[in-house]
Amino acid sequence: MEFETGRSPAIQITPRQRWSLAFSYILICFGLALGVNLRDGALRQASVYNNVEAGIRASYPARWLLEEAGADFVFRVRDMSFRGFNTRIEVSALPAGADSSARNLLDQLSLRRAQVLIDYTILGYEDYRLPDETDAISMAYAFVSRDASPFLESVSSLVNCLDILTIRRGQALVLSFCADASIYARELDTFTWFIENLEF
Amino acid sequence: MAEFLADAAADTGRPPAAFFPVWRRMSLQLALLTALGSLIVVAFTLFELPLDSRLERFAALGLTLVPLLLWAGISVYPEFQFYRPRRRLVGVAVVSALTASALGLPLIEDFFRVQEWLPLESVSQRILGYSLTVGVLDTGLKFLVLRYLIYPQALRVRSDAIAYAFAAALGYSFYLSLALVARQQPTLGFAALVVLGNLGVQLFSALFIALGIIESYFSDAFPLVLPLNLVAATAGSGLITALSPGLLSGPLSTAGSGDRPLFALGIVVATFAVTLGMVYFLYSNSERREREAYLGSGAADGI
Amino acid sequence: MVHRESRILAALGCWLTACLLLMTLPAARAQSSADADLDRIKRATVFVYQALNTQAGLSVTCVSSGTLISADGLIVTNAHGVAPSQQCAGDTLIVSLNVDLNEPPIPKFRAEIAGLDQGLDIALLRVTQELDGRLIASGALPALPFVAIGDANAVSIDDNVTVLGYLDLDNSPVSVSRGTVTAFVAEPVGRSRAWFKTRAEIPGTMAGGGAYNSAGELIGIPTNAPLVSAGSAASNCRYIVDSNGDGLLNSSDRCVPIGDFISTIRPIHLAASLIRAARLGLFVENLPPPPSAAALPTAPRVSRLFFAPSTLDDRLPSTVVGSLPANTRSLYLFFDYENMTPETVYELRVARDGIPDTVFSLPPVRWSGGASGMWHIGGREQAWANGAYEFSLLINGISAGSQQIVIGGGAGDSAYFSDIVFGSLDSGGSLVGNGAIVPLGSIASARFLYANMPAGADWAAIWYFDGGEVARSSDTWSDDAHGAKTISLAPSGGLLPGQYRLELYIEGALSATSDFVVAGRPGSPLPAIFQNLRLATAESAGAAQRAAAASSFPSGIATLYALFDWNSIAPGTPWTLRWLVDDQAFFQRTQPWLHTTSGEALNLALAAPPDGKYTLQLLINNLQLAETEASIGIGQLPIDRFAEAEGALLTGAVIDAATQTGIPSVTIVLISEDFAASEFEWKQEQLFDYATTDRNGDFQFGRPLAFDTSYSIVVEADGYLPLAADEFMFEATVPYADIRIELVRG
Repeated sequence: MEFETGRSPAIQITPRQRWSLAFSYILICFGLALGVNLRDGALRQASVYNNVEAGIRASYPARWLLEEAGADFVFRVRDMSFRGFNTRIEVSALPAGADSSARNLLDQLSLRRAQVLIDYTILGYEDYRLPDETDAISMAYAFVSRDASPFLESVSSLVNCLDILTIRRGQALVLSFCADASIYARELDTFTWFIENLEF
Repeated sequence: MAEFLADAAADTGRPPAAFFPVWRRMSLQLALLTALGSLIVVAFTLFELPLDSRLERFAALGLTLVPLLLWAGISVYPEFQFYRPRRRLVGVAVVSALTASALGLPLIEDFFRVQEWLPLESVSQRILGYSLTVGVLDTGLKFLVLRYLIYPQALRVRSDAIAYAFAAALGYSFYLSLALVARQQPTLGFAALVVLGNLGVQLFSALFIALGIIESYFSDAFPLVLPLNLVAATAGSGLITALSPGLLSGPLSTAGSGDRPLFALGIVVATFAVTLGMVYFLYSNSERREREAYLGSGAADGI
Repeated sequence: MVHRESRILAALGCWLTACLLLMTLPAARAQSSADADLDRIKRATVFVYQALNTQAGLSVTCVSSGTLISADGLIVTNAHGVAPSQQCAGDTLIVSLNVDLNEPPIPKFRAEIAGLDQGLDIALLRVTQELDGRLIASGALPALPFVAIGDANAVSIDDNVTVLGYLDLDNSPVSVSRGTVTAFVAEPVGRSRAWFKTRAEIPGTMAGGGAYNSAGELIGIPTNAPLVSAGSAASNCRYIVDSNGDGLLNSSDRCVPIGDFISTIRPIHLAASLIRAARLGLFVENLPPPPSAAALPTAPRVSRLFFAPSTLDDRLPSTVVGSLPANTRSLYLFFDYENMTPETVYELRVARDGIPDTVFSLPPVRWSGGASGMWHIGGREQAWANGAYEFSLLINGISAGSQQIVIGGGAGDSAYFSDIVFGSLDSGGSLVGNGAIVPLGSIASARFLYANMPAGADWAAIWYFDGGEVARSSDTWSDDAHGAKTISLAPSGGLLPGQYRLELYIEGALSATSDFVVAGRPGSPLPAIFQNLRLATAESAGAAQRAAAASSFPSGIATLYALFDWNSIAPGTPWTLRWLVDDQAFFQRTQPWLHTTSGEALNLALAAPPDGKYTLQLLINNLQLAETEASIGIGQLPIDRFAEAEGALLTGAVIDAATQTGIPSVTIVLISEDFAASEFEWKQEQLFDYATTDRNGDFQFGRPLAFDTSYSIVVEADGYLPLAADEFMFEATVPYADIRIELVRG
């Protein structure tokens, strides 16, 4: 038989123990702060896109798929790891004449999209101010995405989008952001961050 | 290992008294849990025994209760039949589970959103990330539960800290397992791995917290000893959390990829064994040092 | 106590060791090559509805099977089931895909006609819209499974052939019929292999599907031409839509023609130019449409049926025979035809000693010749059994003429004429020229061979011009028994441009006949008919007349114009226009000359040609009379990395290891062979292809993985540990892989 040494429960703790507890609290708080920092760092990890020809430089979330020079866009980035509609940010350029208005160009985009997107619905237009204080117009719209191969039972998702159009030097630049409706509000921060870091 | 524990009551002059044993009972529970888990994993993942899906769901949910039931049967009930029981055991387990429910899981999922960024990071980043998020949170919450429920008022002997830490680990891991099983509806074999895995991680951190408390309270150690133990608890639980899914996941090739449930089971067993072995070693050392100091001081002359 | 602890530790150690030893390995599932080939072909076999858009919605008018031949949705099928016609009056094409190989196909897309040859009964469709009519944006169509095109000329008699298509009107999964090639049928279009005959049991709805060789390559299209007229048998027509809206489905509704059992396969090489043009999006403009039935004055008819043992230049009879010796392997039925259109259905029924002979018969098929001319049907690659044969021609289901021939006995020594060629006589009295075209002048001469001619036999030569007799000579034979003889036509006023014919008779029986064309000024070695052939680019056709000719053009020109002058071609003379890109034909059409006899700067246009080397050839009677070529851009076609059908098809499922259920919307990325997974920076140029899982966790790569090529693979999904692997490679023995990927939550 072995006996263990011990003591009667104490009401008061010693100053050493008090310090010990204080250090522990500080450590926990410090650890959590580091965790938050790490999280923010990971979620804001960025890659850089630079197109000298088009005069565009942008930061976009790391590990998003970069596609360049598509038929309809200058470049596009997509979050391929998201399970659902891959959140995407697209930069495209449209020719704009002296008579074209921003609203005009957005309507043209709508006509084209209405032919290819399921249940394409314009949700509204709003004035938008870019970080460099230039005026732009934004158009919110929604559609249903069904992306997979026709040989599979594809998953449909409701997608919310936001276009921001600004006309500069006879060219309209359209910044498009689309995300699954369930995460749209959260992912909009990513788009805002993208615009803040966009140089064109 | 102590068969009976005695309150040396060096400072009060009371006679030494026996306490309900902790280590043996805890080892027995973990061994039984491992055996049961192994049986389920082998039967339902390796031999793929057929089971009605509804029954499987209920069985998986029931499985999350098994550690608590074993604990109630092997530790709590006899404890309360014994001389001078640890009265706050159930309270610690319940509060730990409630803490996990109210703070632990919501903070991990909604505040740290680890599921969105950590799984895709590199191994080193994942270890660091899990340590600084899941590890800190789990350890911190369990520490706070123990701090405010048992420290110092319920601590009589070192094994009290171990017993309460085990209760905290059981309560905390119970809720995590329950939430995961209810939400994901895994197969019975995988549910067994979840229950064992969660218990392994929480046990590791809880026992290191207990070690810190023991050193701090019973040995009145240097003020940084308790925080260092918390760091060890945090790092250990982060390491296990980060590595165990990776070890469970098989390699990918043109033949596809599969999971490795036996590998995962082995890791759980290793976690239990290493945790118990390491903590018991440190615990015994502390106990021995204290006893030697006590004997050397001549306070035991009257025994 | 110590012993007990040791035992526990030992038990734990053993358990750990056992766990390590018993690590499970993922199971591989790979199909055998033959099964995989068939699965791949099945996946590429589609069902096509032609439907009419009415106020009540889409109403099915015709159906056919089809085959995907490119990942971007190009489908080859029969023309008769998809092109708008009297029988198939629809205006919308719906493509049903084989989603589950054991289930009927599911309508998925709409398509448009991308290439059409009504006579050959070949159509190319391109998927352009979603089922609901939404346009499919450029590049948005997922890569579709497709088959490789084989070499139909390499097919031999008795080769195995597998035919895929749909058994009935969209109620059954894709069906497979197996058989062998039993005969080749020759016609002027398609030459000695205008058709393959097979004994495979092929129902009429499988028309337009695919016929495959043993390597799984597409070699032909099972083809028939359903004949549906008022009161036609219900066996080749189905009433499936209440087209008149009377609430009843009966014979007063429009029926969907399906045709009888098929025994003919149209070789795929006859579609080669159409396929090439469709793939490249090439379209030749400024051409008159082929004649339609409504535009022709009288009903189609055939006349002057006779047999020949061989052909000259796959076009004309070598001689005329009434019987042939035993072991004959070559026989052709020649006949004249008029008022035919691509929608005309013709059929040849052969009976030997009164018993139908299915090997040599040709079931109802579309007419692939022009409106009028001389045609032949026969073959030279199979033995004809002895017997008395009767060949009966049916036009649109009605008997149009018949002719008999006896095969058997020894080679006789009866007199005959053969091998007529035309030209002009030089100063030495020798025949010069090309044999088929004679330039304008005063005399046209013909040289022919004769054999076994008895002295004193009556023989005659009759010359025709545009169907009317212009000269006749009859005489008694005074030359040797064997040799060559030259005769001439010297009409008063000289030769007029047009089509001529010579018939040679022995003892009043036709012994040889041949046609030739008089056109152009004398030239060497060929008559000068088409001149100043040149290529130019301009804003419009009018501007092209004044544009300078060039032999190289920049990339991206809107239209390539071809201009040429012509001299002395009679209207109605058949001529051939052939366009080639990088030395491979993408357009060839023979049609009657519809312009004035002589003129300048006839303008043909080729819309939006991609980079390549373009050649234009002008021909009459298979003789190339003019050619020019020019390069656009880099002077060669861009490489289409999606054009390769061969490779491993990768399908599979992504499973949650915890729940053992599929994970939807997971992206699986295949990295090109130039990069390792660790080098992958999520850039498009590093991608080979990617696939996304469906709601069951299933995925399918549209693009086949090249064999023995080392790809890398990355699977990433939120909440799960990513998986990556290099050396992801399939050998040719595993052309179809179905893998299961288990993801573990992180």
